[in-house]
Amino acid sequence: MRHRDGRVTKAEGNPESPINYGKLCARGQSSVQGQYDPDRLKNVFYRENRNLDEKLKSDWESAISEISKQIKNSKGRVLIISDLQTGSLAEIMEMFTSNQKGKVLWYEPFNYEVLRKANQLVFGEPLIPRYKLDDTDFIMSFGADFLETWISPVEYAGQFKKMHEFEDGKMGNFIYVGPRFSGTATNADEFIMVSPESMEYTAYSILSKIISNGWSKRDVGSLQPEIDNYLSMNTQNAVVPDKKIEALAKKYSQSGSALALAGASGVYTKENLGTAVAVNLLNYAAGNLSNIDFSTPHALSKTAMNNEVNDFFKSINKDDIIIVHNSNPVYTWSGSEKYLMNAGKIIYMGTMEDETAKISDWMLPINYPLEEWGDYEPYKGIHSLMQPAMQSLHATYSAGNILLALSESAGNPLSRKGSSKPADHYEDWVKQYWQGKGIYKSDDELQDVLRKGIYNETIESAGSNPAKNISIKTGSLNLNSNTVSNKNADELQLWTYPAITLFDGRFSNRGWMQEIPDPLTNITWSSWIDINVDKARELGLDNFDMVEIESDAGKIKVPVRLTIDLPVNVLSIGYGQGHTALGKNAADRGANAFILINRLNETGLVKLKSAGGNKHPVFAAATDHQFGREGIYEWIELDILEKMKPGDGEHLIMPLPEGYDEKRDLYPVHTYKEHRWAMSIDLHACIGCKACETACYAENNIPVVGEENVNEGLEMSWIKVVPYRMDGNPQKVGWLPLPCQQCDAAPCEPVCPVFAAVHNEEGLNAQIYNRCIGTRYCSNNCPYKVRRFNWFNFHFEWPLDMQLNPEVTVRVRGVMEKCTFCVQRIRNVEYHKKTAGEKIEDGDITPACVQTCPTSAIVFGDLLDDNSRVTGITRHHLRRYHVLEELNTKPAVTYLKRIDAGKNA
Amino acid sequence: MKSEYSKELTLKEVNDDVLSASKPPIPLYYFFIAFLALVVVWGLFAWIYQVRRGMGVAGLSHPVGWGVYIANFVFWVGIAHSGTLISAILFLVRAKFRDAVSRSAEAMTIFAVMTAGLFPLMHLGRLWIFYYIMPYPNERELWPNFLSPLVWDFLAVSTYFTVSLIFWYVGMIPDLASGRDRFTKLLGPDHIKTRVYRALALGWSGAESQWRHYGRSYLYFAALATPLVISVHSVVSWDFAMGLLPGWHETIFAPYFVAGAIHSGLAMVLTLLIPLRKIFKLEKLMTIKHFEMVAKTMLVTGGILGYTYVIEPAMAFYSGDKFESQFMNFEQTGWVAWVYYLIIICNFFIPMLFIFKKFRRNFLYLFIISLVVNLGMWLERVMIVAASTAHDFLPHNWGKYTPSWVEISITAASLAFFLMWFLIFSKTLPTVPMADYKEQLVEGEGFKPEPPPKKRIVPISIKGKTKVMAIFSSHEHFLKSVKKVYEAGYHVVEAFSPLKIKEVSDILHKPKSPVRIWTLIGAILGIVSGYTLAIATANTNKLIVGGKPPTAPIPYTIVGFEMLILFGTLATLIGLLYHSRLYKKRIHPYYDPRFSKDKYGILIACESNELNDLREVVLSENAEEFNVRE
Repeated sequence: MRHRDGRVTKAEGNPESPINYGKLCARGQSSVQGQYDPDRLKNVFYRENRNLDEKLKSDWESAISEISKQIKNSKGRVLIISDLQTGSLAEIMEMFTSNQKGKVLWYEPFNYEVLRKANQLVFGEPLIPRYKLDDTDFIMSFGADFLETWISPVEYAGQFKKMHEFEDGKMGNFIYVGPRFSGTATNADEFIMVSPESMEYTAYSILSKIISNGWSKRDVGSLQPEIDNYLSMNTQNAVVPDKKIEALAKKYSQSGSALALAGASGVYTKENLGTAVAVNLLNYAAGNLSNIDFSTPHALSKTAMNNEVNDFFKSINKDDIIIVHNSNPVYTWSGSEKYLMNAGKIIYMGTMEDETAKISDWMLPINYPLEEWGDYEPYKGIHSLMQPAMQSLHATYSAGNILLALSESAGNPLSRKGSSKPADHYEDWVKQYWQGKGIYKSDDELQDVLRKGIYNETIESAGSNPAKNISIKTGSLNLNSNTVSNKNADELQLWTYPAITLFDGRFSNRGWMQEIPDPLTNITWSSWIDINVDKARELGLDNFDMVEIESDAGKIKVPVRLTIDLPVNVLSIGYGQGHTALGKNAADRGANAFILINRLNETGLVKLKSAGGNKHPVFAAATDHQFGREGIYEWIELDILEKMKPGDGEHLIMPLPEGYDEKRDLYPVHTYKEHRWAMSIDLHACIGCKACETACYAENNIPVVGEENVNEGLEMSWIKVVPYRMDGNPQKVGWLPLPCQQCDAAPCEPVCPVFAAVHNEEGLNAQIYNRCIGTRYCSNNCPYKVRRFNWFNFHFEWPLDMQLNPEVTVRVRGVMEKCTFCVQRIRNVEYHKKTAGEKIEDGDITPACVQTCPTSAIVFGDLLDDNSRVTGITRHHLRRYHVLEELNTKPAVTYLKRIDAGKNA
Repeated sequence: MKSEYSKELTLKEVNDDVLSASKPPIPLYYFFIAFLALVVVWGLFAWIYQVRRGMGVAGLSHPVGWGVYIANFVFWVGIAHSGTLISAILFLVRAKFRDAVSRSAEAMTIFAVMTAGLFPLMHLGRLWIFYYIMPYPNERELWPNFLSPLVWDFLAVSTYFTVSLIFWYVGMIPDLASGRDRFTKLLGPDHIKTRVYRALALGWSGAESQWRHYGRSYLYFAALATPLVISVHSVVSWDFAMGLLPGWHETIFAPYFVAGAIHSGLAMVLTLLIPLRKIFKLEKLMTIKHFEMVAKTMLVTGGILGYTYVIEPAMAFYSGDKFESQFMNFEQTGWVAWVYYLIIICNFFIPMLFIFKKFRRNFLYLFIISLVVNLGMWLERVMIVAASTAHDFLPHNWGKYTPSWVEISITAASLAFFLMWFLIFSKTLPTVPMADYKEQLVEGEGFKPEPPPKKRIVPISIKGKTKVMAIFSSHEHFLKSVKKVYEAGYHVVEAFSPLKIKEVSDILHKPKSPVRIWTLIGAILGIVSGYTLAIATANTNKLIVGGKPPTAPIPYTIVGFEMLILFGTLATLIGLLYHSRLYKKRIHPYYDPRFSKDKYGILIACESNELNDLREVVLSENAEEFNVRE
């Protein structure tokens, strides 16, 4: 975390982390907005009547004494419903509840139940293993969006980049099979669009082919009869041509290190489970099992399965006291409200007043994680250590301290086993926990350990646990013999997914998460449901008509978006909108897809009917087609790339004196003395995750303009990751991150009447805010349109203004702004190095986008340094090109063409 | 006496008709002024709202950064140009039909430039620091960027305003003198109207010694204003052509815009003057023939526009360039297509009706077609400004543009602003250039005397000599008399006339006016200063923009050129004021107010014993009066 004057301004990952290597996703970057959310719970409140919205202020003393009195006198249980916690806080919670005849429900809306059940069925372990993608050479994902929200996306992104890059004459392949053209699917070499039941069918078909052709590495032949029986009973689900199945089977089994993934989060249907089982079998049959490590399972493995949650809710009675911690079951578990209302008392411990908080008797504001001590063990053996990055902003306490205070006040103080003295404070508890784990011994070690932030415990890794026999027996695959075909004409199949910025709705009040566009659709601040174009026409629906979607769990109203990106009988909607509480940005916006989900018995079938009216979602871009224009997003075929030799590749006009050619340029060269900053962006590595956009918002004080203004085209993002479809092949989409190109012959500079846009001595196109009079000619003349104008004064509501980076001006209305390659960071390093008398090395300076990109697609450096990475790429990389090169703007951002390997799969 | 454009008119009639238009207005006039002022105030409120809230209240957004405001700016500057065309260019080519309309056309220029000048301010994001664009030494130690077309705009338009104002004012001086004399007679010397006219007339006495310099300097003003017209709208067109967007970056823009400017300006002339002649009863002076000539000129400008409408798509599609051809396709089939086709109809096809006599000889048709052309030209500006930014290189950036209520209010207010000033002008100042008009009438007589051989006449001091003022009504007699007096060896001290009398200067063998030296010096000083300003200031800050070095001679040519015109004009003005002694603001002691209306006079100094001979000479040429002054 970067912080200034005691307040946190920017989130960055811990470079020591073996999971994210210092990179954060878009949601991670938004954590500072969570810290400073103006709608955060700031005080203790209580309600006299749970059914009324009215809340009354109270104070901590009253709260602790009241609640502990109730706990002491309680005849029933004290239950905790909490988001996933590990380590110290988990210890406290478990101890607390077990002392009160209760238990903790580790409730996460996305519990990867399908994956865990499939793992249990096939491998005998109901766990989420640690997947290792970097050593694979062939990945098949069946609906698992591992580059967006699935389990550990930042980790997988970095690994995916490694397996997918073209090196030593070859590159790994990635095929995505699934119902929705998701962000992850766009990064596949081939996207095979199938309905959910066809997805299961396809997986089993591939497996069948592998077995029948004798390509399997391990024996699963005993399952063949059952599989073939299933296939023959469900031929209506065979949509992928047989030749393709054969080719996929061959490729998968003949790859040195293949891995298949499945278990889309948020979908609990039989088909999804069946797919996950098939995929596990595929992995067992012909994959490389060392890529699946059950010895270091993910912490999410301990979250409650749907049955457990359901039983828990049903068991709540009027003697129970429920403490809800950082969890929102009322919003995420359709129908849970009535069960929760059965409780004697509901105590809400959280940071935001969400839907569950709204029905609680007590609302206790807790510290946001950035204000806390604590720890998190994402995979077994990896301990992330948390210390407060700043003092509590509001009158909040840490959840751990509240529980300790409550238990003490209730006459049953908690104390940690194996500690010399009882911990009277959460901080002590945490430190004792760490000492217990051997993370540190003496206090002088503590500082170093905290500075590192990560502790790696040595776990004897069995490497690949599933080497043992599969526990699945013949006849017990429970394959779906009757498919879920559309029973009625008006029934369609629902495919839900966590939105990349909103996830399960917990981030929906964060301005950045609403304003940063949904990657492929470019929609902001809105809810919509995707429907296939032909199906819509058949039903007489126009784009953005309002429809009512009804399942056996509930119904919602939402506008449709006509698209080619999903199969005919499938509807797809993202989770995260449709709040009725949480805050100003989230409430009364869109539709809550959780309402449609019957967790225990999801059929995935919904009815659609027109609801009358039309609601246009808010788009942040005009189109994703290139219309045959060259020099925008470019692909290079793998065959061609494979034949290229060093020295091949496009001849680029360099943004340097050597780029000036007297036959083409009217004016003479200008030289750079010390540095010429430049960037390269590998389009083959960019996965369209929007982390760079969010990081830029955080670093550069970019205002959130709100729904209406985005609709008018007034949004302010300095770097946009724009999707572009391939001409003639619209289901090939690439991601084009477009920052200011810092052109050497920038067309924006000579047209500014007052020299507010000038070229600085290090090659940057400098925008001088206090000089700008706002004629907007520079923006008109920029062919990349990366300049943004402050159309209004945008207000940063307290305490969001505390997040502002003091090294970057906050702009007033009437002024033009744009990406500066984070000039404040460049100068910062320059000053520090100068005072220290050292030279600047390649990699010392990282603009915000470079710092956070999970695939390290963006490289930044000095073109005057012959040894810098960016120089090597700009001069020699085989795939290099400039966007709109023919305009002779001499951009300093070099792009690397995306490799088109689709034909090879 | 008649000119080929008007019926039988006397000089007196011209004087009276024109000046009587400024008698106190009827209530309807006040009502109109009040209404227009109200619209202007509403626009002002909209503007203040925009300044306080931010430019977002306009319909502008990303990517369309410019809209109606810039279109209005270009439109109004364009209208201004035809005023200068009529006064300056038509003067140079001696087109006779310009007389009746040139004053109003010049006034239109002034007010159009004033209106246009509001818009660059209006569209600025931070208009309260607009002065950053002005080149003057300041504590910021920064100078504006002379490579930017907007700075060229600033220089060109402010030069244009200054030059037009000077040109308009200088042209009015003899008429202001007529007004002064008339109102002194009608209203008395202390009436406010008389005092204003007197102050503005700068002591103009219609004397030959003034006319000589006046005639020359007017010619030089016209000669300077002509290239200025071409340059100003070329500079305005380069606001777009210097950008790289498809639809903007075209070499045809300069002639296209200049032709378009004149086209729309002529249409505005028709729109304003057709009602004006009826309302202020100037039918005898402004005849159908005048307007017909305007219409014929519009055929030429319309033709040039038609050529552009063909060549733009032709080049776009012929080039094969995807960006250009797709853009042209967008203009023809996208959301602006209705504007595109409407423009071609309004600006080309409808004015082509002027080919037919029926349409160009009928006031109603002229008026309606002029309104259509005005609308078409305004829409064309809006389309040029908004379409290119809305549909440029990267498709994901494409956008739309719809003007908001703020922009519509301000546009309406600007039109009201312009009309308001024009209405005020038509009631307070002479709307027809009387001196020019009278000159045309007199030239119709066709009398041109031969200058006599040069005689050496020693100019003697007129102190103590007998002074004789001979007054004539006939131009012919006046000239003949001057010649005779000169040949007889008398000292002609001064000659007076209500119109230019170059023939008298020739007869008297007066040296050519030295004003031209002033013009030359001013022009040279101007171009040198322009280049120096640009080069020196660029090298103070040494900022690199667009890969260009600080000293870039090609764009600085514009700076040099505009300064040439500006300094040349100012120098000519100073020369005029000096040599004609107008700076003294003193009426000639022997002046007779009738000289500004319809009488000519010769002031001769002689010895008292020569008086009788002189009388004979003079009276032989039908002098009406022979007044002896001591």
